[in-house]
Amino acid sequence: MPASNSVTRTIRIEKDVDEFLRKFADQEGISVNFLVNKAIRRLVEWDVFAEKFGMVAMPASMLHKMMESISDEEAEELGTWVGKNLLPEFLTFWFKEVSLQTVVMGYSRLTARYAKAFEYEEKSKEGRWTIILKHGGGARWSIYYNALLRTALEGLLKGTELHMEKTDDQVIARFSLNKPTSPS
Amino acid sequence: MTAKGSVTRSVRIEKDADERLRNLADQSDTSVNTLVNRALRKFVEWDAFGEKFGFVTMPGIILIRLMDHLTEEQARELGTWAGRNLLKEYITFWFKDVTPETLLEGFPRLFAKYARAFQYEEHAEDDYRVIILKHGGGPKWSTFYQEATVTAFRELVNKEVRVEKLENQVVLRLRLAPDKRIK
Repeated sequence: MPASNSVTRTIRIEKDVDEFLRKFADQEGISVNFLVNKAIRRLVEWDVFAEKFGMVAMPASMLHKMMESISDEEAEELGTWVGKNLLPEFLTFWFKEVSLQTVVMGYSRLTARYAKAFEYEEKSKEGRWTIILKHGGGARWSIYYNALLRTALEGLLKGTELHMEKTDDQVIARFSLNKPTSPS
Repeated sequence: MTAKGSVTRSVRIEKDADERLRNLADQSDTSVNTLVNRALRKFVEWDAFGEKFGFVTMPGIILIRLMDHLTEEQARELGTWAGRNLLKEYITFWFKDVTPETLLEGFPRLFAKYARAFQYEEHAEDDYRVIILKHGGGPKWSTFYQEATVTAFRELVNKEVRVEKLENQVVLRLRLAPDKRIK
């Protein structure tokens, strides 16, 4: 990392933690410094909010099984409810505002990076935006994410055309903004 | 700092992260060093394994709503499946071996601390270790945790657990091994 973008800190680390970090860094071919930065960034960007917001971690295989036990209609209803109610709460809690920018750059990027609910890709060209959520959880999770994203984006795009596509493990949203700018 | 001691390290931290860290330390009335150690401890005990194992984080209310759609029987079956398969995979992945100690360390303790699926309390009562899982997710989550726990202890480590199920919590009672009794 460039020197101008970083500060040097001297910290006392518990011995067993330091030992684990050194071994892990060695195994993964990365530096201890990288791991320390990764852990700190996770704390300040995610953990400190996640704990207060009531985030819970579960193995993906368990979530797949739970989703398989409900109907398509129930998955759609749940996604719509999350897009309409829970997502605005999440955005307000983390970023203090509900906007296209916080949906795209906040919710999608953070959920992909830290919650590991999906992989996220985006592309914008001349005001045309494509957002891809690759969740790998099967058709019913696609129904859920399709409803969630559609509900959230429809409320923010205000009449702008929105195209949603879904396959078994992925959901795609395409929309055009009036001006060829980022969704800020 | 633990009795195990500590080492001093100089690290370069990204400026914006360092600033947020300092603000957080100010707000929480703690030191930057304590926060860094908390973040590193979590990485060592949880994130390093959790990312590879495939943990997904989501608002707890979604899990409550998902479970609400299941029948009591489906919640029971899911618990049996989790106790037999998921807990075995999870404990093996973290600790490489399934024993009563690693099962207790991984399932109630780490799961409470880092997955935040429930609050966890533990005390000794005569010859029993009493563990309380306060999940707040309603009766079907209680059924799930009851089945998962009984199945895991019976099938993975050959131990019987007495479970008292309430609407938002389950109480587990395990007989202590003679050398594990709390004096």
